[in-house]
Amino acid sequence: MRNGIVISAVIHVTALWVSFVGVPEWMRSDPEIIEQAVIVELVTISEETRAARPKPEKVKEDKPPPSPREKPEPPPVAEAPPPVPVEPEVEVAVVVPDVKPLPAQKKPVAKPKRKPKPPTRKTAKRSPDAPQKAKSKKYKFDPDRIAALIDKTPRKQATQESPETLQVQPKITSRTAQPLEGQPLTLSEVDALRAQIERCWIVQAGARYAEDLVVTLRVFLNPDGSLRSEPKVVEGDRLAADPFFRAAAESAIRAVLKCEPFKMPVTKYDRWREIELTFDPREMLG
Amino acid sequence: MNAPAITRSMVACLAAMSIALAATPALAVLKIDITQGVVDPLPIAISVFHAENEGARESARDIADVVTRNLERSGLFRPIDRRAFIQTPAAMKVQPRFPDWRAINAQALVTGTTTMLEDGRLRVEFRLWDVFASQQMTGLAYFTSPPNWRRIAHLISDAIYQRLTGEAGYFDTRIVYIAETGPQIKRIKRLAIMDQDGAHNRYLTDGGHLVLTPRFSPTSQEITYLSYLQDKPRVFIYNIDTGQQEVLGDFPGMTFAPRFSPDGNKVIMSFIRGDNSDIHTMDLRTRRIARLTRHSAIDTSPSFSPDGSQITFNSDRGGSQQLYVMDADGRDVHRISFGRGRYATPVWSPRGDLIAFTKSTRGKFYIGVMRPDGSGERLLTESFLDEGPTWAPNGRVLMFFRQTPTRGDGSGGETSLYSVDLTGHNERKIVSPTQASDPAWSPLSSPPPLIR
Repeated sequence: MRNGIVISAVIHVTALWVSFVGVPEWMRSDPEIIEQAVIVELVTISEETRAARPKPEKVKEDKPPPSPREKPEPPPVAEAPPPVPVEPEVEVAVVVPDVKPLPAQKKPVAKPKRKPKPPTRKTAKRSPDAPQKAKSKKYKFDPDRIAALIDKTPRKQATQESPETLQVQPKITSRTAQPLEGQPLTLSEVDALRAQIERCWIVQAGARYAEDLVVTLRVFLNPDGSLRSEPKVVEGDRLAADPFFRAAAESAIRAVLKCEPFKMPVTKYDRWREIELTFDPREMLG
Repeated sequence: MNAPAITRSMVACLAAMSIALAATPALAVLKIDITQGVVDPLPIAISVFHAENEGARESARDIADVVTRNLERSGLFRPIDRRAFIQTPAAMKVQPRFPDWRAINAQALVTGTTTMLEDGRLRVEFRLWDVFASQQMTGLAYFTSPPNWRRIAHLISDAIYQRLTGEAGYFDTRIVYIAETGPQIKRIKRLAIMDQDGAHNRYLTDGGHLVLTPRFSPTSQEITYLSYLQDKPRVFIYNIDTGQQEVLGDFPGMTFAPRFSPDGNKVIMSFIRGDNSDIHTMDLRTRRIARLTRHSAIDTSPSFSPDGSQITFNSDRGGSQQLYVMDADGRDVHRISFGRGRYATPVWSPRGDLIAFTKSTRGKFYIGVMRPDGSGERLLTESFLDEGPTWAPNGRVLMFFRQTPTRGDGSGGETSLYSVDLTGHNERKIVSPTQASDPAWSPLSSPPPLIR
């Protein structure tokens, strides 16, 4: 009797799990093999490996990104002035009789972030201002923006899908009627994304300890290729401690913000909804 | 089946599930390495500051102009033409409209306000914004007497540079140099000092004596240099505040190529006795002299490492003039340059990672840098005659002087100051009122007031 219950429970749990997560990779045979045939063809294009290794422990970070958690990142920026005021203080003593940073300086720093909202009431009369301000904060949670995304998604699906996926599709559909969902990105798709970001990344030449300034960002994307939330710096605790790292991280973030939305095949959204970008200037600066 | 057996089978099931879960590809994070970028200056918009009242209107524009020129000269920033700006300074008092600035491809934005206060002081406030992140990066306010507005502009430039690069700036600094006037055969050489952008030039000596190789002390209150006393070259110390000059040490022979130690307590220099030149230090408090090299060759141009533990100098002890490094007590002398040609005037970078030098080979002169172990030699400039490199306090820019060839009719032979950054791409001529040579860059935040 007990055995029956245990076996039944195990089978139920397994069935539930399979229905939620799907069959494990080692149990699927055909699609992956077909996929590899495509990859082999494309190997000459780039040296990059075709798919990322699974990292289960990091999966949980997938969900938190929406704006409320991203907001804490700006404060280090507000705290930035301390190193600077040191110089003016030296000056107070000798050169410019009264030159000194405002002690109340942190308040003005914080104000602009809070202020903008009330002022929008005033500026609301000027119609062009209001919508622009709303747009400027893309990665903050904004119901209007979500609505806009829903509108865009179908259109972008149609346009974006075609150039990237057309080359690959014929080969796959010849063997399987399945769409591309769940398939890894091809090397050319990854290369296209890489090229798009590289065009936007301004690397500072002559920075000290450039070899230590490797920045990894975790980027969360919407199906239309736009950012779902602000990029997250993986070694975030270094931002406050190391001004060089902070400058490098901000430069990497600017590259991502400038380049979005990214042109990616929407059918493989599962593969690129979350991307880890490692900005490494060593090769360039030698 | 008993209870432990059930638990065991459950654990086994869970373990199997977790292994399968780890193998599920849908949960993988796509990882991409970005190894190539663009080495371009950062596009930055520097708006004219907003003047709160009429008295502050002039400085509102002047400060923004000086900041713009400073950042542009650094080669790391590309200030955007103000005619492209959409938003006015007054409209940005609360917060910039970031889409307007993104539209003109600005990645950073500088706004500010100037106010003439009732007590006659000028209040200058600036904010640096990250245009794409739509947030403030830094904001500072300064009070000063109105004639000092230029100094504030340099401090603001330093703050922006530091915030965006992580590295200290070098705009609130001065250059001491040799101002040259008159014909080639009867040249008048005076000690002169000016801001790093060429403003506030003034002469420290009257030109009665030949002056050479001025160097700042770490506090930038004093300058050590070479001048001629009774037709003999001697090392002097000059106090900028008091104008006092003093001969350093009572050497029987000639002393030259002086330079302060990083703590400012010693001066290191060459001392010639007969045909031989060796390196000595003098403690400025005890006046004790220590001899560091004992070699029949000519050892000269010593320069301390920023931590004071080592000294680089040049010597012809190996047959040709090359660079050497030794410990601060004169031990462990080893050669670091092995290239063709002559190497001279080594200067250790304030950040310690490089040694700058002058190299001459095949009729050309070069300013170059190499690591303290002699590796990674790079030549940054090339001309008929480039000489005397000096480091900006952040170790990212070098200044030197360049002389044009003298033609048969006696024309040419002009000397001017130039700066070049570590990439070698951003070479600029420094505007000076007269011809100029032998520059020395002051440390940052020089305390003495600017005298017009």
